[in-house]
Amino acid sequence: MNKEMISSRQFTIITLLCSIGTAILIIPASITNDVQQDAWIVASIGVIFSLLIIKLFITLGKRTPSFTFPQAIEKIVGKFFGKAINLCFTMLMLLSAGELLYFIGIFMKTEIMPETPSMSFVLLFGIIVMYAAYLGIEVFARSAEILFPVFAFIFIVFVLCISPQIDIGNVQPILEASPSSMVFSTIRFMSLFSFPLVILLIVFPSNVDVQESATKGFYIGAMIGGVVLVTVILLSILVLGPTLTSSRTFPSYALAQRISIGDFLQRIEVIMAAMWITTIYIRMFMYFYASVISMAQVFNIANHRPLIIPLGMISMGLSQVIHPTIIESNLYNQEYWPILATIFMVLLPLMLLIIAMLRHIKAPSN
Amino acid sequence: MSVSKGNDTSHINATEDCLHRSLAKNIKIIKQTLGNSDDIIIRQLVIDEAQNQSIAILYIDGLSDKTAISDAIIDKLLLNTNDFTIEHIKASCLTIGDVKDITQFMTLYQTLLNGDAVILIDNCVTGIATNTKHAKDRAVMEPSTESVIRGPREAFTETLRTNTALIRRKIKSPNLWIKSRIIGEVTQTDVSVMYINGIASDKIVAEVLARLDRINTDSILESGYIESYIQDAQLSLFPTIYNTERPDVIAGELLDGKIAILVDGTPFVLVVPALFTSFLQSAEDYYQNWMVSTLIRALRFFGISLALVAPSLYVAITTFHQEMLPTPMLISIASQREGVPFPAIVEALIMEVAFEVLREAGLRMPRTIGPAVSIVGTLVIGQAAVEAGVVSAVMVIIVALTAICSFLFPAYGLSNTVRVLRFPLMIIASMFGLFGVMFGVMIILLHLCSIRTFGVPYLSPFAPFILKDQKDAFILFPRKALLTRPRLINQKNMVRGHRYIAIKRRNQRDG
Amino acid sequence: MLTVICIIVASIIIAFIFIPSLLKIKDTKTIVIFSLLLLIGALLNSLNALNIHVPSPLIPLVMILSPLKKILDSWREGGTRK
Repeated sequence: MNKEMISSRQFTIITLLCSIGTAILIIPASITNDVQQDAWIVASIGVIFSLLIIKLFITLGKRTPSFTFPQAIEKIVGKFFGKAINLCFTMLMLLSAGELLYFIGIFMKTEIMPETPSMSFVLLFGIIVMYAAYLGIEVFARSAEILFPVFAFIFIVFVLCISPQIDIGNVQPILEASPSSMVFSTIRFMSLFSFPLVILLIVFPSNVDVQESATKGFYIGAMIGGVVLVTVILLSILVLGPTLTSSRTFPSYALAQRISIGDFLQRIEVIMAAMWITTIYIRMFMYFYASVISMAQVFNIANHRPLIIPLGMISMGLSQVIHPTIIESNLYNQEYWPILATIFMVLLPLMLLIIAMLRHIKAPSN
Repeated sequence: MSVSKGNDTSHINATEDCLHRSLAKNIKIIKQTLGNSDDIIIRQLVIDEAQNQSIAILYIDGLSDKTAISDAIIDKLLLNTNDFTIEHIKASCLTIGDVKDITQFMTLYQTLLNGDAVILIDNCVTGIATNTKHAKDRAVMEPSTESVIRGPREAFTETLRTNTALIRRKIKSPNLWIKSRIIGEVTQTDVSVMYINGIASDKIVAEVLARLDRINTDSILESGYIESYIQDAQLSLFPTIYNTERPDVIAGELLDGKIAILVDGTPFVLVVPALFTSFLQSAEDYYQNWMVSTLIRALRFFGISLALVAPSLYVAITTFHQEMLPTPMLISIASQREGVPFPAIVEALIMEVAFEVLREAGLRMPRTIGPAVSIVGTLVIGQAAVEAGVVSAVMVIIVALTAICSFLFPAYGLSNTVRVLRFPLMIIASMFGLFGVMFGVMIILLHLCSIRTFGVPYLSPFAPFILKDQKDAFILFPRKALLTRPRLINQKNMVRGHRYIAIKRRNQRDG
Repeated sequence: MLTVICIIVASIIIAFIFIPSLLKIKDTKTIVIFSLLLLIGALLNSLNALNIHVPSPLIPLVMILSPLKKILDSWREGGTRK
C-alpha cells in the first residue's frame, strides 16, 4: 500500500488548529482562576516556552524519520518496554479522545441545546471523527485545509466584533500574581496547548513530504495557535473581566454572546461555535487516530481500519462516564491533567530522546 | 441480458469463416444472417454475360449515400468493360475516397452496418468496402442546455465524426490525437478518446483507455453508460466526470490537459478528470471581463452553499435557535407560523417535495405547456398554500430561493447532487439544530476530500491547496496572468503562454 | 432498553461488515482484538444506556497521581508564602 503523505502546508495547518484544540474553550477560565488579569502574560510566556517543547518533539522525531511515533518507541526502547509504553499511550489517547467528546457534549448541552441529551452530540461528532479516521490522514489533512479559512474568517470576525467592548481597566494592575502561581499556570497552559502536540509525531516526520519546511511549519503553526489563544484570553479578560472569566465554564462562548453590532447582528454565538468545533475536531481526530495507530502497533496489526469503529464506540462510551459532573472535569483539568501531560508528553519524549542518543539511534544519513 | 448476449456470440461464431468463392453462396449466407431484412439492398450486376460473371453491391438503405453509390460505384463499374480483377477495380475504377479489402463475413457485417457499401465479385474471396456513410443527422445547432450570452453558438450533434470535426476546427494542432474503441457487443458503438499529446498526462490517457477496454457490455446508448462504468467514486452522489455539449468548452478543457471521450449517438461529450471547480465554471467566464467573472463565480459558490443549506438553516433556526434572529423578524416569522399546523421540518419537506415534483413535471411536459404549467403551479401552490395556512410565507421564500440558486450551476450534474443532499440535511437539522447542519456539512466535506478522479484529488486546487492554480479556481485572473496549466492534471507541459507586454508601456520604457 | 437493542444490532452489523473480509485473509489476531474491543464498546454503551453507573476510568489514575499532586501543592504553598 502506498504511504499516505501530507504536504508541509497541511501539516502547518493541522499543528495550528490542533494546538488551539479544546484550549480555546476552557483555557481562559482555568488560568484566569489562578493569576487573574495576568493570564495573558502567563499565556505569552507559555507560548514562548512551548517552542522548546516543540524543539524536543522535532529532535525526537528526526531521530527516527521513517517511523510513526509508536513504531519509534518500540525501536528506541525495545519491543517489550515499547509495547508497554504504547499500551499506556493508547489508553491515554483514548481517555483524551473520550474527554474531548465529553466537552463537545457538555458544551452543546449546557450552552446551546439544553433539551437534547449530550450523547446525541457525542454520537454525531464521533461519527465524523471515525469517518475521517477511516478515510485516512491524507483526506483528513485536506479537510483541515478547507476548514482553516473558515476558522480564520470566523476568528477575525469574532475579534473585530468583540473589540469595541474592550475595557483596558480590566487588565490592570499588571503582574499582580505571585511568581509560583505564574509558573504553575504557565505549565497548566502549556499542558493544554503545546504538550498534546506530541501526537503530531504520529505524522511527523514519517508522513510529511518535505521535512525541512514541515519543521518550520511545526514552529509557525504552534506560534500562530499560541497567538490565537493569547488573543482569546486577552479578549476574555478585557471584555468580561477576570472574575467573570474565571467563573464561567466556557468563557470564550460567553464572549461570543456579548457580540452585538447594530441591532441586527447579535446572538451569533452559535456561528462562533463553529470555530471551536473545528479546532476540537482537529485535536479529537489526532487523539483518536493516535490511539488507533498505537493500538494497531501494540498488537502488530497491519491494517488499522477494523479497529476504528470499536475504539470509536469505546471513546463514545468513555465520554459519558469520564467525568460525572463538570466540577470533576474542571478539577481534573486544573490539577491532574498537567501532571499527566508532563509525564507522558514531556518526560516520556525526553527520556526517549536520551535513550535514543545513548543507543545511537539516528536517521540514516544519505 | 446474458441470454441475448449468448445468442449473439453463437451467431458470430457461425459466420466467422471467410468469404466463399461463389457470389450466390455469399449472398445467400448474408441474407440468412441478416434475417432477410428489407433495408439491405443487394444490387447484382452481370458484367460478363459469356461467363455469367456478376458483381454484387450491398448497402443499407438509409445509412449509405445512394447518389454516391450510383455515381461512383455502379456507374463506374458498368463503364468498365475489360478487367474485373479486384486490383483493377480498386485502382482504376472506383471514384470513392476510402476503400478497404474484406475477407471475412464478420468484417463484412461490421462495415455494412456502419453504412459502407460492399462490393462482392464472383470467383473472388475478397470483397471491397467503400466508404459511403451518409446517415441522416441533425445539423449543428445552438446548445440547448448550456446557453451563453457571449461565445460560440454551436453544439455537438449525435454524429461522432461531426463532433470530432467541431473540435478539430478549434484546435488545429497535429498533437490533437484521437484513439478510438468500439464498445458494446450488440450496439458496436464508436467511442473516441481525444486529447492533446504532450499536454495531457500519458498516465491518465492510459488509464482512460484501460478503463474503456475493461467495459464488457452489450450496449452503449449514451455517454452516461460510459460514465457510470469508468467513474471513480461509484458510491458518490458527486459527479466526477464532466459532460458538455459545447465544443469550445471541450477545447478549453483539452488545453488544460484533460481528456475528452466522445460517444457516437449523443451530443454530450465527457471530460475527465473533472474537478469540483469545473462544475462551477462556465465557458463564458473566460469570454467576459475577468472581474465580472470573479464576482459571478463567487456568486455561484454562494449559490451552491445556499441551495444546499438554506432549507435546513431555516428548520434549525426556527426550531432551536430562535434567539439568532433579530426580534422584529422573529415576531413576524412567529406570527406567520401561528396558523401553520406542522413543525418546521414537515413544512419544509412538504414545500421542497412539492417543488421537486413541479420541477420534474415541468421537464417532462410537452415543451409548449411545460414552463407555463410549472410557473402557474408554483405560483398557485405557493400562494394558495400560504393563504390556506399550510405553510408559512417565509418557507415559500426559502424554497423559491433554493430553487433559483440550484439553477445557478453551469453544469447540471452538481445541481442534482445538491437537490438530493438537501433532504438529509433538513432532517438532521430538525433533530440537532445547527450542530446537525454542521455535522452534515462536515460529512459531505470529508467525502469530497476523499474522492479522487483519475488520481487527481477532487477538491484541488483547494485541498490540496495549490497557490498557482488559484488564478483560475474560485477567482479568475485576467487572461494575461493565466500562464500555467493546472498542476495536478498534467505535469510535463505546464507553460500556457508567456507574459504579454503591452506595446504602449514598452514604448514609454524605451523613450 | 430500545437503545441497548440498537447498540447490539449495530455491533452485530459492524461485525458482519468487517469480519468476513478479515476471515478471507485469515487475520485471526485482528479478528480477536476487533471483537474484544467491539464487545467492550458495546458493553460500555449499553451500561450507559441502562443508566448503570460505571466508575470513571480516571479514578485509579487520579489515585496514582494524588501523592504527586500533594508534593506539588506543598511547593506551591511554599512559593506563595515566600
